[in-house]
Amino acid sequence: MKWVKGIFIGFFAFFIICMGFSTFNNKKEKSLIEGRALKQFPAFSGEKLIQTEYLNTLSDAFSDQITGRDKMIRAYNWLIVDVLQQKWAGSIAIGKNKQLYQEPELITDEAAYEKEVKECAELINKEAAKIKAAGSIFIYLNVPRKDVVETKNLPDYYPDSEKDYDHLISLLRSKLSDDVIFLDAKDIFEGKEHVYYSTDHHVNFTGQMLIYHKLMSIVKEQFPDIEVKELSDFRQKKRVIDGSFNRRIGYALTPEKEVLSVRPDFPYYAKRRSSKTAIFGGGKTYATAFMGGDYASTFVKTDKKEAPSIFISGSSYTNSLEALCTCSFSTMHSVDYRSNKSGKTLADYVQSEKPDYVVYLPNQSDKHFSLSTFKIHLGISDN
Amino acid sequence: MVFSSTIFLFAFLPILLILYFISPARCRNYILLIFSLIFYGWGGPSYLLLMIIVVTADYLFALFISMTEKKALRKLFLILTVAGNLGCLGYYKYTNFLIRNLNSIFGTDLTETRIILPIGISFFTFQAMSYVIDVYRKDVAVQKNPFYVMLYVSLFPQLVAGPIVRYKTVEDEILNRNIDIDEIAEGLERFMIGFGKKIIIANNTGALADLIFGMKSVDMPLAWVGAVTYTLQIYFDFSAYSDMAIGLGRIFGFHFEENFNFPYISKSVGDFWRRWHISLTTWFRDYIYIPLGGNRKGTGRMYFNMFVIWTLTGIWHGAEWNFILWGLYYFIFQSAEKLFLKKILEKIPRFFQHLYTLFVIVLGWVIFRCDDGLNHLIRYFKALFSFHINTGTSEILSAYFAKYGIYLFLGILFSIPIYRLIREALAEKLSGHKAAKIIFAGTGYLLVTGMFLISVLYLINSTYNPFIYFRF
Repeated sequence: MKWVKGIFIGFFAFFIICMGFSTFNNKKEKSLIEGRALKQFPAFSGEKLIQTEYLNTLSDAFSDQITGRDKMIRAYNWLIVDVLQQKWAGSIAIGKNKQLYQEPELITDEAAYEKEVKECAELINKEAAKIKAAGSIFIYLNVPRKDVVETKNLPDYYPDSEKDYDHLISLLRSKLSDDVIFLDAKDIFEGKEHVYYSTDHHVNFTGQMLIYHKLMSIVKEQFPDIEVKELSDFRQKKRVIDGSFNRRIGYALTPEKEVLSVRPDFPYYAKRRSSKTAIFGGGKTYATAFMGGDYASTFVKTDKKEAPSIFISGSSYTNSLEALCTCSFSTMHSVDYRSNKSGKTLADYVQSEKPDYVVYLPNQSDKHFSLSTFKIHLGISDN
Repeated sequence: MVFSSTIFLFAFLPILLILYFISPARCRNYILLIFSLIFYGWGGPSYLLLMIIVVTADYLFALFISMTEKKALRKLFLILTVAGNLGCLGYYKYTNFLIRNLNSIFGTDLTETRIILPIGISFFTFQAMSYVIDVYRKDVAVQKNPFYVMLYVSLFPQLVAGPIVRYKTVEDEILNRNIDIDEIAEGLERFMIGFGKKIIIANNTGALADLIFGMKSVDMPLAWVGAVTYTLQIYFDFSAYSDMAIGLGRIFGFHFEENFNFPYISKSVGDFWRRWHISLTTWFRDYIYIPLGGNRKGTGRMYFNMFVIWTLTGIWHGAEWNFILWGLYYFIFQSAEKLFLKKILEKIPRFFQHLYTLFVIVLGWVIFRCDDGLNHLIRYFKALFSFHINTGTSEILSAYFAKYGIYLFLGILFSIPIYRLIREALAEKLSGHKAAKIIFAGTGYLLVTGMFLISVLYLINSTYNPFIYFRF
């Protein structure tokens, strides 16, 4: 009997000792699965040893640097997804047909939410009036979460977020003034399938093209000659996109190939101010279907001198839309207020640049309608 | 530092184990003491000094008490000890509570102090105090080595969240303890079980409980799910800590008393409190209730003593009115049981006895959980008995059950002694069959190791890892 106990104790001791000593030798900088930088062990000093901050950093670094971290996250997700057949992995909901969704937004206080929606509308109206006074056309583009649009593949237990969204958006719509041209991407995507990436919360290139076309139909009312590109104007390359959700659940799911890289199949000229990074690979090579990052400010000048100009306040949701707009407009200036710390509001930018069109897209990846997010993307955040 | 952290599991513990087991027996207490101080100091080095001062003072007062036979002088030293410990506890834990209440009663504008509650202060002051009281009562011999007194109080497995160990429990083991492979294996198994209970069940039920209790408004079904979930969380959180403490103690040769005995299978409130946080209940019984006269001085005095005990139990848990209310809530039920309810309960089927007890316990935990103001508590109780169901609740619950259902199921399953019963039954059947016994033991260890490894996966993947009793 003793030898059985010996093996039991020996395994435990071996495991924790090996894990411990190997961890202290690790210097990993990034976790691909978690999409974040990992904390490094702080430099040792006897003096710091009595500081809580130093000890906390050491604990966090140890946790981040633990040997086999990524493999263990994958093993955890294998256990949850494949073995336990859970339709949840962390905050990710696993839908049908290899579709991943984020955690549902559960509305428990409807009255408070409705109040917040009304406040969002009031805020937009106020800013839209300023923008109209500056001579620009204000377009408020609402892109709902994937679970509102691609409902067919939702897991069975998933709440009816489409119903909640419809109720809130109709309330918001009813409160918007005439200064606002309102576009709901849910309407734009009506009858279309697979407009979001399978393993991510972003709208894919097909979806962005639909939004672009809707936007252009509005622009055409004043500028009928504006050039509008079609999906067929782009050569496309499909690849497996792991997407942020799938990275977070440790690549527990192998999705189908999707359009990731595109190349304009037409003469393309657009120059980005203060950056050498080409848009659409400068039209010469395949490039990612999005602009490749959420920049604080991107100013692009094109060869379409007679075309109108556009200003976009957005986020990663407008990345491909911004690139597509450079095929049609004379200038495209976009800001992402999550990174932009200029102190200028959207109305300030419009006052000074006088663009023909202003597109405002608040990020709704977490909550359908959040006043603080709406404020952020108008550049009037309290932060 | 917490047991369920990577730095404890893969750095602190292996280093300690190596040093402890390669050292000669005479050095082991000192190694344990140094590591216990590191363990405590990790959470806030500044409070290490506070603990050392408290223990040193208690060590000296115990010494003074033992050096004299004069009753008055012994009593004086005891009073100074108790006043010192309670003063320290009161200052750190209750000053701001007092200020808040003075401000609201008298309309004063006293500013709250910036005191940060030292981790585990309620545990280590009670433990240190009990040592001096035991010396005063001559229940234990005074310990002349200050390091051993320090080790007794600061012994890391039980330092910050109990069980509250009495000096007489570990008195002999501090001086002389036998460590063999059987003890280590049992301790390790207990530690792994506690680790699994904490990481897999307590953390996941805790995440759901926090979601529901954090909602601005809940309807009846959500409120009950939240209450039951918290009931599971607090049991698995606290009993897991005790399991890990008892297991680690066993590995290092100490035998701490049990702190839990499947409290949710109780048949009455009195029964529950004989099974829940046993070390605290017995501490209050032995050091307050009995000295106050217990039930020896008449019925009226007994109920007064019970009132004192329950008020103190409540306030020990936290400096908020809900904790005092929670204590008084149990005073009412225990009094009612003593007066008439026990007799009624004994006549009804056992199922209803359990149902009554669980009902009281679950509501009790709601009082305990709503520590962010009485308004929250009132709102939550209204929801529990509102018979109101929101339209989207079934969808919300179905989403929650899809995610947390398995942990609620495991929580309910392991709240009853099913594992112990199966194990005991199998062990009895296999007695006399040596090979079968080995296979049985091996399978048990394999299962526990598997659960431990799965818990490690959960730990690495999780960011939610609180310990409820750390703040007491």
